[in-house]
Amino acid sequence: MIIGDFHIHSTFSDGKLTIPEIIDLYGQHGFGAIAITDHLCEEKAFLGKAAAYLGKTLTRATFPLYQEILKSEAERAWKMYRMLVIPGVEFTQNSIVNHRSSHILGLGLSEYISADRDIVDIARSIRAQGGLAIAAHPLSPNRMAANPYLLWDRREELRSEFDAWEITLHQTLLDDVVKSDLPKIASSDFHGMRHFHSWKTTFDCERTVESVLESIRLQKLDFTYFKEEQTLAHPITEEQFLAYPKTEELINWTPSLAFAV
Amino acid sequence: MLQYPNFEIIFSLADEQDPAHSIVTELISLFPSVEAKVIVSKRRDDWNPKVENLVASYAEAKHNWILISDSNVRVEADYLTSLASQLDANVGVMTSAISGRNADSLSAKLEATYLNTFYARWMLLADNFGYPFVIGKSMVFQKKMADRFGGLKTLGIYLAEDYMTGVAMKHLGMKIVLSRKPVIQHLSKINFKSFWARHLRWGRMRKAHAPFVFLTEPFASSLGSIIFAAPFLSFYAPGLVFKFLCFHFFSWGLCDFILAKKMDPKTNFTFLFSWILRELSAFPMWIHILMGNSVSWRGKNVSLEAWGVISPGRRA
Repeated sequence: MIIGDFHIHSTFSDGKLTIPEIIDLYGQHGFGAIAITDHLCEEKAFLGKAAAYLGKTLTRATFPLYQEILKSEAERAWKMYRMLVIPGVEFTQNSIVNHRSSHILGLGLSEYISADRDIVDIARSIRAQGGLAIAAHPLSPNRMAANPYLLWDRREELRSEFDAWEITLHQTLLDDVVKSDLPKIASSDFHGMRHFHSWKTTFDCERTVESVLESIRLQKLDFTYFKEEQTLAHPITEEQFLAYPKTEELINWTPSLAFAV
Repeated sequence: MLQYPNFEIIFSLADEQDPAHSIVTELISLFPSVEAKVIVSKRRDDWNPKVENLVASYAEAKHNWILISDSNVRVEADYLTSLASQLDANVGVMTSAISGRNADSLSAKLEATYLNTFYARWMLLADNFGYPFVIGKSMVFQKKMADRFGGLKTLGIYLAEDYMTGVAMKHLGMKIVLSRKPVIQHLSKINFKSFWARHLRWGRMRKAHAPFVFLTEPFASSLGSIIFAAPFLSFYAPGLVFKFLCFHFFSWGLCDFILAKKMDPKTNFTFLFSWILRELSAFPMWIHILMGNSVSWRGKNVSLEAWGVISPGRRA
C-alpha cells in the first residue's frame, strides 16, 4: 500500500520546511508518494503582488529553481526512501471576497503556467501537460476565515475540468465535499509540523508517478487519518468515515483509519 | 603564490581574442606545479554574460568547493586558507564584502566609498538578519549542492546569478556565510561613466530582487534619514535644529569612517570629501535606478523582467 500526501508547501512559498526537510520527514515516516505544491499567485493582482514581495509565493523567477530542486530531490527521495515526489503548484487566486477566490492544485507539472489565467484555462493547461487538476480545500469549517469558495460555487459547471476535489483541510473533513458525488482526494495542506498528522490518501498501485496519478484519475484510492507515529492504514466504512470526529476531537485520537471510496 | 595544499585554477574567458588569454597562458607556463587551465566558453545572447562565461568551467571543475573570483579581485597568499577555515559541510555559499582600495581618480574614490560604506553596511545587515545577500565578486559554494538546483546553467536566466545562488542554497537548507575578511578590489582609475553604469546595474538588480528593501534605501543615507527627524524638530524644538543636524551628520560620517577604515586601513581624512559626494549622489542614483529596467554589462545591453529575469531574446 502507498500512503500519499499531495498538498504540501515548502519555503518557496509560505511553508516552514525546506524541500529537503520535507522529503526527509515524509520519507522517514514511510510515505510512498508526495506532491510539493507551493503557492503560485497571480502576478497582476494586488494580493498576488503583495505575496510575491513578501516571498510567500513562487514567481516566474523562482519557478525554474523550484523545478530543478524538486527534480533532484525526487531522485534522492527515490534512492533513499523509495518515495515518489510529484512536482506540483497551487495556483492561488485570492480576493478579499471569498466567493471570488480559488486555489487549484496542479500535479505533475513540467512547464510554468501563469496563475493570472481563467480557472478553466488553468485546469485545462495542467491536464494538457499530463497532470492532474485538483480543487484545493473548496470549503472550510471556519466561515469567517479567508477561504476560496469559487470552485465550490461553480462545482457543477467545473465538474469535468477537475480530476479530484479535496475533502479535507488540515485535520478537518469537509462534510459537504465528502457527501458530494465529486471525485475525491485527501491531503494535509501541509505548511509545518502542526499539519503533519492529518488526512491522507492511500493506494494499492504500482509505485510510479504515472500509476499514482492514474489511480487518482480513476478514483482507485482510500483515505486515512495519519498520526506522526504511525504509517499504516486500515479500511473503514463510509459511515464510520462520515461519523469521524471533527478537529477539536482529533487531538487525543490515535488509531489510523481509512475508508474505501 | 596561494598557500593551499590542493586546488586547481580555471581561467574562464568569453573570447579567445581577449588580451587576457595570452597573459594567463604565459602565467600557467610560469607555474607548472600549479594545476591550471584556460576555458573559453560559447556565447548565448539571452543569458547572463557571467554565467555563460563560467558554465563550461563549472562542468570541468574537479573539486566540490568552487571559488568564483572576478579578474579585478586582488588576493593575498592566504586567500584560500582564510576562506577554507570558515567553511563547513552546512555552508552552501560564502560571500565576501568588497573592499575598494588604491583609488587614483575621483570616480574611483567615490566607488571605494560606495563599496566600503553603503555596500559593506548592507552586507553586514543582511548577514545579521539571515538575508541571502550574495555578491559574486568572490563567492565560494559547494558544487554538489549547486548540482541540486541544476548547477550554474539554471542561473543563466537571472541577471543576479550570485543573489539567486544564495536564494537557492537557502531553499536547500544550507547556510549563507559572510567571510570575516573582505576581498580587495584594486580600483586604480575608473571613469565616472563606468562607475555610474556599474552602480546602476547593481541597483536595478536590487530593485528587481528585493523591491521592499530597495524602497527603503533613500532613508539609509544621512540625508534621507534626516527627512524623518527634521519636521518634528522644527516643530517641537526649533532651537535645536542646527545642533541636531551637526550631531546627526557628524555621527553618521564617523560611523561610516570607522566602517571604511575597517574595510581599507589606508582610509584617511580625504574620505570626508568622497563621503559627502556619495551622500549627495545617492538620491539621484536611486531615482535613476527607479526609472528603468535595463542594464549594460560586459558589452551587453540586457532588459529585465520582474524579479531579475533576463528577457529572452529581448536586448534593450
